[in-house]
Amino acid sequence: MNKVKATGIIFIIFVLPFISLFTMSLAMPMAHAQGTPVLDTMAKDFFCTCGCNYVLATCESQMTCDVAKSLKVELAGYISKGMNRDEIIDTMTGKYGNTMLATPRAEGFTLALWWYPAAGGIVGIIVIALVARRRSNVNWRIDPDEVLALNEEELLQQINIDKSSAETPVTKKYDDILKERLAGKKYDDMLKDKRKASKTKSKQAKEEE
Amino acid sequence: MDIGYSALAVALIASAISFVSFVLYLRKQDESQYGFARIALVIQTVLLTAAISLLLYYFLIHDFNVEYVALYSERSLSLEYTISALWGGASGSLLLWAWLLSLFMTAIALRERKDRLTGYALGILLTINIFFLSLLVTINNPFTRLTFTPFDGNGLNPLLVNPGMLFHPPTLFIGYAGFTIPFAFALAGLLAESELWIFRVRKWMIFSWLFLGFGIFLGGWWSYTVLGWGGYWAWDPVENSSLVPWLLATALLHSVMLQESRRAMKLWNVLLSIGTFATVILATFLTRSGLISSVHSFGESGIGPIFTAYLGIILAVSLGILAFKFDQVKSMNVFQSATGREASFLFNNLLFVVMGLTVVWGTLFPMINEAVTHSKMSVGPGFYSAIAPWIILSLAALMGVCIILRWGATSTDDLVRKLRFPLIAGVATLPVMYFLGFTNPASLTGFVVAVFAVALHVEDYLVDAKNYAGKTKVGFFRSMGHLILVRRRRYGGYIVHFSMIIIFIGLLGTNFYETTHSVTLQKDTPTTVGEYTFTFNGMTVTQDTTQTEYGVNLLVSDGSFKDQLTAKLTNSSKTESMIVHVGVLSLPFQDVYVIPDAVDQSSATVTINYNPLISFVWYGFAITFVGVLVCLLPRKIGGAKLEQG
Repeated sequence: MNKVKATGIIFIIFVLPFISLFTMSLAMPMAHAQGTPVLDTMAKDFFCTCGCNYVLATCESQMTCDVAKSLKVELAGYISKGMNRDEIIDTMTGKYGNTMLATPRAEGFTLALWWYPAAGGIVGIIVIALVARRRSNVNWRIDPDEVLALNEEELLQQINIDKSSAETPVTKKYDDILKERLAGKKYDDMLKDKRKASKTKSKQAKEEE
Repeated sequence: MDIGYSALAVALIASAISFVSFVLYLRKQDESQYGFARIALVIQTVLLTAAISLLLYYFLIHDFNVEYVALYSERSLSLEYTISALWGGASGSLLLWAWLLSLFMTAIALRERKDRLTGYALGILLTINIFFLSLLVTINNPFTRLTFTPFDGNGLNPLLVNPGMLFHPPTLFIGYAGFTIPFAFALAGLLAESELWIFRVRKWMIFSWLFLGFGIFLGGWWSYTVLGWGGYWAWDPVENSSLVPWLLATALLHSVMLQESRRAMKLWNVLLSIGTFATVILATFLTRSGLISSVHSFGESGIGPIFTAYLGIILAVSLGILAFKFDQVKSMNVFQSATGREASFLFNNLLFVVMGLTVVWGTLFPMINEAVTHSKMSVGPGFYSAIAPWIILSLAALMGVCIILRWGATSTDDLVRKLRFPLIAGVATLPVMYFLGFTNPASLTGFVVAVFAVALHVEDYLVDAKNYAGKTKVGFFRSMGHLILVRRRRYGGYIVHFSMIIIFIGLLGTNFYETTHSVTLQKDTPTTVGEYTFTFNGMTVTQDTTQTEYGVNLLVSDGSFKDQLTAKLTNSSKTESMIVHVGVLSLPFQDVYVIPDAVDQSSATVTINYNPLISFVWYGFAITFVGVLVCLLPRKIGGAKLEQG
């Protein structure tokens, strides 16, 4: 129950900003589409046809481009005629082709462009759900910072223990390493001591055998 | 035959010998072969160093008999741009890449342990360099000589005659070359059946991540401060293609921690390593092929199809090895709860990968669309701007929440206790930002999430410092410093998180509050435009053999300060095009950004943009650098510091 509550809290934390952003993002394009088109905004909806690959707004100002200037005048003309954004886009693409439209419309095959991120996200969430369902009782864990304190022999030891048993012992906690360091031992000496201790231990085990 | 070409040819032979020796070492376990392979590797690096130095020398002495020198430089080019012309074309870029890769390989050979894992990794890296060297000695020879010697060269593209050209391409190339290392070690780990690859590759991966990020940042800065390509990021296909490997590498930097600490995500980490390198090759293909329209069209050359084939081979071989050694990547089931830190790593990876794949999809979609529907189309900034905010906002929120989650599972009490103050801080941001004039509701959501995430980091740090001080008795403030050294991975990561939030705030400011004004200023007549008054002080004209530069000198003032600002229009006589150099006045919380449209002695027509919080983007990258340095600090430094404590 506790875990369910905790999951719920995290869920809410993530959902709240999204509900607000989603509502606003829905509201804004609608306002953008329905309201009177603004020249500066519309100049970012089309690529310049001069071959520069900039949107009109950039091409006109950065390249001092005459093509961009005349296209912007054309846009201003449509706006002053009272045409809405969709009508202007239809007219411009009808005249100059679809390649000049900087933000493709979600229709026909282009739907694949717009739905791809959502589809990717949904597939990813399903995969995560499937992975997370394979719950484990393995208690072994080590903090990534503790990993940095280990050398390759120790890491190999960890990996080998890990392979041989699901119930692996916890590595020497970082706090313990810290205590030893604070007691004045140098890191390399500590490792030497550890290796010595493990060698003695394995020697003893052999002798016992 | 040019001596430089000979050096390249012998370097190719040395690479092949080194590769064969590594193979013999791996097959026969013959240590002497490893030593021999290493010597051949060092010889290859020395030869490549000689080759690139020689090409640079040809540039410096203006040896226009060398075709590449004649194509990308000219006598009037200043010293620094003559040097940067080295990577102005495809052949020089390839040589730079091959040289950097050889340096990386030598460093690995000298630094890493002499064992099968390193042997396999170096072998794989050598195959990559053999590919580059083969291109250099066949179709992309930078030492090709002309049958005549022109008096002067063609010169560098005027857009590239810029300080950005000195640093942006090389840093990107260091990142690109560096990302061959995780790829090589991941495959080496499979072949050598060793999980140590994930530990051994860490420092190389962070280093490459930093340089690729820094390269992208420099490109953005160059575009913004000088070229004004629609700001610092235009979602241009070539820009996108450099972002994708960085995004995948960021996912990898996080997911390796799960393998290191929990033996999970082994398959995923190999896939991400392959994906990162494959997208580096894709980036080269997109830059050089010219198949997709880009503002970086000066980078086009004929090697696009070869890179496509190479990409196919890379994917086929690496996925084949993965399939063949699939038992090596079986992970432990370590996920105990959706409230565990492990789960947050999965979501983090999901977001980065979805973002990366979305950018790839958007970039390649015009080609796919043309193949399917036989009609042309473009995908511009509008598509990415509609998708990216969702993912960035999710990442910002996740960045905060993930650090307070415990490994395994987090209890409700724990969560509530850790969340309450950051939540209060986040909500308290709303009225403050609103009062400061940031009234757009969507941006306010972003500010709340940003402050919430930062507050979570600060809270976690303070609590950790308090606990540490209690254990070690070194005092709270000293323990704050010690902690960063002791848990450098965590706190280096926190500093990078903090830097990303700072950049996020910058993005909010520039995307929601940028204002644009077009105005004609009469000479010596103060004109108020928005918040500031502008006075046109006249035009300056500077002329040399290749270009005429028209300076638009402005005095910017408000009640409290006055400052000079100069924007320029450069007319290149060679390309007969007018290039704009924006004028930027950077204030702590806002940039005054002036784009000159037209100028004469009596008036200047300019576009004035006010870009609030843009400086946060630059500060953010500087902080990233600090965070990465903390992550890369050698272990001994922390130990010594602690012993002093």
